[in-house]
Amino acid sequence: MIGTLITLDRGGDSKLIWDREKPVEVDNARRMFKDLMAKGYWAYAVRTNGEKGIHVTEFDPEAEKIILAPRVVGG
Amino acid sequence: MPTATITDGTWVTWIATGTASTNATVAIWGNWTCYTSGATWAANNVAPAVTQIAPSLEAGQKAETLLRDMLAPEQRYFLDKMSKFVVESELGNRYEIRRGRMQNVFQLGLDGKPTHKLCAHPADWLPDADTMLAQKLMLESDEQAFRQLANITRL
Repeated sequence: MIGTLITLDRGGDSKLIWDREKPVEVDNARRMFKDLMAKGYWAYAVRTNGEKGIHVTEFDPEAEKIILAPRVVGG
Repeated sequence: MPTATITDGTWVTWIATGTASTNATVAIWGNWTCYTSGATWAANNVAPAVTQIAPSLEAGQKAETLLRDMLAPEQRYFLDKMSKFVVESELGNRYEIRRGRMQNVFQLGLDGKPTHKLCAHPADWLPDADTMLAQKLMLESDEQAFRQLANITRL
């Protein structure tokens, strides 16, 4: 099974895909998740088609899709 | 650190107070990125020759595709027809997210009319569709945090 880490950025978004059966890919995704969380990003476990995302703070290798968004500030 | 102001792709001001390394990124504005072509600009305080990378249509299209993937059919319909869509928070409050980056979130009353304007957006510049997606995700999953960060205006 495949998981996708989607990072919202200036280029639209960047995707990192991991195979849950491949520890190296899982570790790579977990590392990126931690790096971005350390930078203040917010993470959401999501599905498509309008389902609400769930705010998460830990990387879940079983997640189908995780979106990482830069921290929100008041305008 | 030099400061650049650009409007509609044209340099308006250039404030140079230091030195720049070759090809350093000196300004990011919207989806334009400007680089110095050398370090000689510091001597006479004039704008350096710059390379402006054209706004990326691809970035906006990617963001639009992702946003649409994350919306329910009726939300996509309203986005297409009215450039906005409605989300419901975990507390049951309804918010209208309009196309844009700032001052584009409105709390709706029971009659469906906006009662408050909330201004909060990602700190980094993102295409509008990504900004709207970030606002949607936060409102749906942590409305209170969004409200604590936002500047809220009663309408």
